[in-house]
Formats: sequence, structure tokens, C-alpha cells
Amino acid sequence: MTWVVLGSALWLGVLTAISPCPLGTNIAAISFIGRQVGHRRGVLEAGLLYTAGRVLAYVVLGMLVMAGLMASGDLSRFLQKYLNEILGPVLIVLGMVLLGMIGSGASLNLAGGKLQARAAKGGVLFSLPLGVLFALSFCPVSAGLYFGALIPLSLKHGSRVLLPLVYGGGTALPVIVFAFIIAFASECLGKAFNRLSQVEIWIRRAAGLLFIVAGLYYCLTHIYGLSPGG
Amino acid sequence: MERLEPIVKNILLAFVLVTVGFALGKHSVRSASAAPDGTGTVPREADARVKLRVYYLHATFRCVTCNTIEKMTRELMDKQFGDALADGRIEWVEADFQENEALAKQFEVISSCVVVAKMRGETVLDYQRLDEVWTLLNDVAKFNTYVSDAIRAYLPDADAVEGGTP
Repeated sequence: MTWVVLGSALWLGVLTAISPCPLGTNIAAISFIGRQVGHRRGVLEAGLLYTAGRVLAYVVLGMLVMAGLMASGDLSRFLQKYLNEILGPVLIVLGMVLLGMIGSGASLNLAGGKLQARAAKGGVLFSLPLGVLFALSFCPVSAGLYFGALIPLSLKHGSRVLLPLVYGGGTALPVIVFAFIIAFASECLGKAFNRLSQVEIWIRRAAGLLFIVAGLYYCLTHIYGLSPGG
Repeated sequence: MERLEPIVKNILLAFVLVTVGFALGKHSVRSASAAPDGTGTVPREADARVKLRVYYLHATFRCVTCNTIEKMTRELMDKQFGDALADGRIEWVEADFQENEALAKQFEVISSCVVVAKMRGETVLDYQRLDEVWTLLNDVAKFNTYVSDAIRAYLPDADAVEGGTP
């Protein structure tokens, strides 16, 4: 295994993240991770957990395919067909939770605490399943690069874990960088005008709103078939 | 603002429920009306001579990059294989692999892609799925060489249709 091969896997991941088709989920992820203005450790933890979620999904999928337990084509087509359809309604509901519209009732307890309260506090742990969900929601570009380029590369070099892991890191890298920029820029802005708590509230609201917008986009394009010309 | 919140909340919840119902209904209709032979939009003809069929297979959701791949492939074919397209030695077929599962299974499609298939009538004799179009997309020269080499490898009388710039 050479650095060139590792670099190729990383570049494939970055290429996946910066392509237009996963833009909706990337914006949602950036807003979710970067919304903890003034809590640098929280941003870092959320970013790392989001990356871990993506890495976990790609490594497990890679192991399933490379062990011959599932065919690349069947798995890829299944995930492209159903996960993107599930994603739209899920993003809308998550956006509503982030905005405090739902989830504050006793019926929506999660992990011993109320869902909305946890999400509003930061919900760092939510970053992990979010990373898994977004990684599994393959669009044509990510499916082409993961199943068509990364898996053959991993098979060629006998790397069932390392290359999918590096690829997963690459897919999260641009998201993490932008989340940090937004979080720290907002913090600086808030401090400069002595309005940190207000900036924090608006950034959190914006995150919820972006989840809803991204969810509506996924519903309209993947379920109702209203493709915006590409 | 506070008065609006319950209205927005109910609209969004209703939208989610309707959307989930619509998605479930769409899948049940699709599975009930799936073409048994799976040929979908593939042209049918009685011609039994060996020919080449170049498929552009795409998902129902057409992403920007997918459209670029289709456009680049189509331009290459018009430029380099215009004569073969005109006289029927090459056929161009565009199909939705998510609606045409038989085609997707036959070519083990993983994502939107170009497939070059050597055909006798409707029987696939051999094929190559060009997955590397995704990584060669930003290098037009390499992309064209990759696709045109695959076409020439299967095309009967390939030398006769050589022409144009790669």
C-alpha cells in the first residue's frame, strides 16, 4: 500500500463531497455541526462523530461487498432507490426537532432525555447516525465513485478497511472544514458585536430551517420526481 | 410569529405524511406494472446481424454530473462514430436503470454509466460497463479515449469508421 493509493482514496472521497449531487446533505451536515457557536469542543466532537459515522458506513458496506456477501450492483441500486426517498421526510422531521416544533413531548423520549431538549443543547451524539444516514444516501456521483472506483481500488490492493476508511474521511473533510469556518466566524461576529447568544440562537434556527429545506428538496426530487433540470 | 408556528408545523407534518404515502403508493404501482421482459425503452427489431449498442443508463434522479457524462458521450459518438450511427452499426440507447431492473441486473449497473454491448438482435453477446467515466470526467481527452477504445473494441469493421479527433 503506497501513499499514492491512500491519496487516491482520499481524493475520491473529497471528489464525492464536492460534487453537486450530495450538496443538500452536505449543507444540512455543515449547519448541524457548525451550529454550536461558542462551543469549539462541541463543534470538534460533532465533526469527529459525523466523520466516524460516514467511515463506519463505508467500511461496513465495503466489507460486505468485498467478502462477497452482497453484490455491488444490487446494494448500490437498493441504496440509491430507497435511502434518498427516506431521507427527505427524515430531514424535515429532524429540522422540526431542531426548531423545537416537535419532540418536546413525553412521547418522544430518546436515550433518557427529551429529543428536542437534547438536539437543542447540541446533540453531539446525533452526528454519528447522521453521518451513517448521509453516507448511505448514495446519489449517482457517490455511488459511481464508491462502488465504481473505491471498491475496485480496495480489491486490487487487498484493503478491506483502510481504503474505505480513508475515503470516508475524505467525504467528511470539506463538510468539517466549512462547519468550523461557519462556527468560528459566527463566534467572532457575535463577540465583535457583543451578541454571542443571539448569534447562537439564529445559527441554530438556520440549521433547523436548512434541514427542512434540504428535506423538501429531497422529497420533491426523489419522491415526486421534480428534477431541477439536472 | 408564535401563531404561525402551529400552522407551519401542521403543514409540514401533513406534507411528510402525504409524501410517505405517495412514495409507498409509487412503489406498489411500479412493482405491479413492471415489464416482465424488462426491455423498457430498448428498441426492438428483427435484425440479427452483429451490431454495437451504446447505452447511457441513468437513475430516475438526473444529477448535473450524470447529464455531463451523457452529453460528453453523445458528442463523442456523433463526432467519431457518426457514420456507424447513421448506418445502424451502432445504436444509442438511453434508459432509466431504476425503472428497468432487468437491464440493470444484466449489466450489473452500480450507478449512472455508459455500457458498450455487442449485440446479435436483442441478445447481448458481450459487454463492457464503463465505470471509469466518473473518474475521467474532468479530463476530456482521457474520457474520449476510454469510451472510444471500448466502442472500437466491439465494433465490427472498426477501422472503417475511424475518423475525427479523439
